[in-house]
Amino acid sequence: MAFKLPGLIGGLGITFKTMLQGAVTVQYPHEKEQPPARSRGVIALHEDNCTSCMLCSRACPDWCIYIEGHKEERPARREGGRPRAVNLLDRFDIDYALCMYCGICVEVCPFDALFWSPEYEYSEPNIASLLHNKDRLGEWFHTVPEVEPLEVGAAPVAKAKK
Amino acid sequence: MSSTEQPVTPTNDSPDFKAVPDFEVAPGMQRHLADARVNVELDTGDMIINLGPQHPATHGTLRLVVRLDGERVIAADPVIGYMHRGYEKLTEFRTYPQVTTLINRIDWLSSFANEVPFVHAAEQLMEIEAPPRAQYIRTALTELSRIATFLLFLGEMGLQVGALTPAFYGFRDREHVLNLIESATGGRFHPNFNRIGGLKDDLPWGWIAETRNVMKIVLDACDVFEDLVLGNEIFQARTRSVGIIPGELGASYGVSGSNLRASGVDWDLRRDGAPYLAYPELDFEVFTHPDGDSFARYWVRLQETRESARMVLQLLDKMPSGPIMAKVARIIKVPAGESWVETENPLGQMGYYVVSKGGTGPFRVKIRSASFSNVSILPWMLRGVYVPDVVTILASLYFILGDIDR
Amino acid sequence: MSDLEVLTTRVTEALGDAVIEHAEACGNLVLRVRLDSWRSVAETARNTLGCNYLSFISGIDWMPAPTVGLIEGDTSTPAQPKEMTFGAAGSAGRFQVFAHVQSTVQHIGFTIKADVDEAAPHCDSWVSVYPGADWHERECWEMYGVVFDGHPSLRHLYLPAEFEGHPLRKDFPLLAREVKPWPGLTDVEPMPGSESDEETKDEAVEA
Repeated sequence: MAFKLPGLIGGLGITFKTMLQGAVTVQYPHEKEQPPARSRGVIALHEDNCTSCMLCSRACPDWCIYIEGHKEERPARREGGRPRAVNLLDRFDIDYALCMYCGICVEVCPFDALFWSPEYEYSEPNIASLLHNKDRLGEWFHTVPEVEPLEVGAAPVAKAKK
Repeated sequence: MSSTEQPVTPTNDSPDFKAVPDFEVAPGMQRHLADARVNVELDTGDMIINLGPQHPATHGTLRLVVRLDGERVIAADPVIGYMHRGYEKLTEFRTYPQVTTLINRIDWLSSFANEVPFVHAAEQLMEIEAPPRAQYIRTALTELSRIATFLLFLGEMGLQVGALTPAFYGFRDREHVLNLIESATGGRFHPNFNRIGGLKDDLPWGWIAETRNVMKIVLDACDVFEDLVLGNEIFQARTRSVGIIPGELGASYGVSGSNLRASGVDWDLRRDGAPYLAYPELDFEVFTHPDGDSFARYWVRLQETRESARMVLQLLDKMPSGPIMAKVARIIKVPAGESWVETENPLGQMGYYVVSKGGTGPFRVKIRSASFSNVSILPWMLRGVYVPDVVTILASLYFILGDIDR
Repeated sequence: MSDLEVLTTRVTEALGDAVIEHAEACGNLVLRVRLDSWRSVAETARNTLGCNYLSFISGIDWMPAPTVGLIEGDTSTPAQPKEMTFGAAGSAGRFQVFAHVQSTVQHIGFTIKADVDEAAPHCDSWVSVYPGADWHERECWEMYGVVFDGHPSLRHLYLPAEFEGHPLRKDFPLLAREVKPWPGLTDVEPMPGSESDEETKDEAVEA
């Protein structure tokens, strides 16, 4: 079979050019790429907003959110008013070993208690530690990025966060 | 045969290996058919070996039980199901947003494209339409996922025939596309971005400009693959006339997508099927190749990658402004009915037959996945083929195990 | 006449009295045919109507799933219908086999359904007409228990050979949901849109 010179040699020319261009590898962990702001890394909980409505737990396709809560009476806000009943969280765990990172829980929460954060470096040597309890979920809160502007042509956003 | 009887795994005597229906074969293809030649000098016999399920050439957990005469395959039986996750059973007990999340994972390399037909089917049943901007963004993201998966194909097919370099180039250029998808949707591989009625969010600031840059990179990458791989004589020797699928036979097996177009059948659901997304407003070319061999499948996918990049540029130029979500209730209940939507996914024709009874979740979803039918032609195609050519054929058919097994 | 009406006329004329009922479902033609003419319908579709492409063959079990609600406290799974109703073009019973064929040249396609017997589901095999039916019918047998007469080797496709039962039948439970207890141990409020939402707004909760 006659070998036409250009085919193989042309390929070698391309690999030679690429070799001179340098590597694109990001040398993790010495250099780290910053994921985009919307990147779904971990879920942060803002406990004050949570009312244990269970919507996130029900919406989760994997049943990985464990919620326990109880009701307490709080004194009336004004003079002569009735005491209010508030829902307080006892337990809010997300099992990241099961979590699919789909974001349905963050989306359905009507009280803006759950947020996405692009943090991804929380791997653990044993699976049980992947169950983040409510304190740990609250610790992620400071990593939640600001709401970023949308592209040209997007409809104006009515609420601050959806 | 009653439903309680179960034949044993195919052995030398089992009728299963002879059960492949025979067809009129074109004269040029005679050399691909096997006669089981027994070498009279050495007393050789047939060997039954497993290719897989852990095998670098089988793209995941596909097991091929092959009966070999030396290096030539006499019969092959793909055993699938190692990744069977029971999607159709799962969808019976999930709400529509949850199903949308799950079906991302059917074909995980182009996962945005998996959500589109399902959401479209639900929207058809609800008789709503996503607003034009949502349709354009959906189309752009579908084409981006097509580019992402094809860049991987262009790389790894070179890898399967022995060229290591294209694999690196494929992954390197694919990173840009995945970064684009991540900046828009939040997930590189599983965007979970479609909602019934539109999309979850609008695009972030600067996305359109960034996409234009990335499309230039993609077009350059296609030129590189053409020079590096397609023109390479060794690649051509490995792939020309290997694994020929006659067009009509392929269609009767259900082979679809680039595989069928590489056999000369001019059928593309973006142009020929029921109109969906923004494709009716786009100007694009559909590529076919008359040969039907592995080289043709590589060639067609390379051209389609270029064409997808051009389509994305067209979409960005024409992107309308406006809302990205139609008016839908918070808790979505889809009215009773049945709906069938099929789309041209990167792997082929993907379709969802959604049966709804008016609840918050579907009653039955039949997922027609492309790779299932693409792989079902293997028992026919692998007869008389040498073992290294088996690897080339598997690479050129380009199936994803999640798509076969669901 | 719209394209769909033209197609409906062509198909119903070609299939003749094999068709029991036909309907339109979201722009798609659905026909219910007699079970004994299942294979001849395929031959007509392939030879007369030019449908050279087999999309899929599968089954439907119309019985509502009985297992939901047995899992204590689970309010996340969507409510299942209470009674058995059928879909486009109707059904005679619980099980149906349905298939979709298309033409790559004429760009037409339609869905065909046939009712199969509930106690001993049997159906003709399409392998002699569309060779791709091989795997689809194996999957349908495995998932629903429909035996395809004339299929060369009806054996398990996805599941191991020793597997018992037919998973996509509604009486086969989804074990993953039964094994894991519902994680919302104490429900404070009922699910919006459900019946108990109107009944009780306030539930006493054990902490």
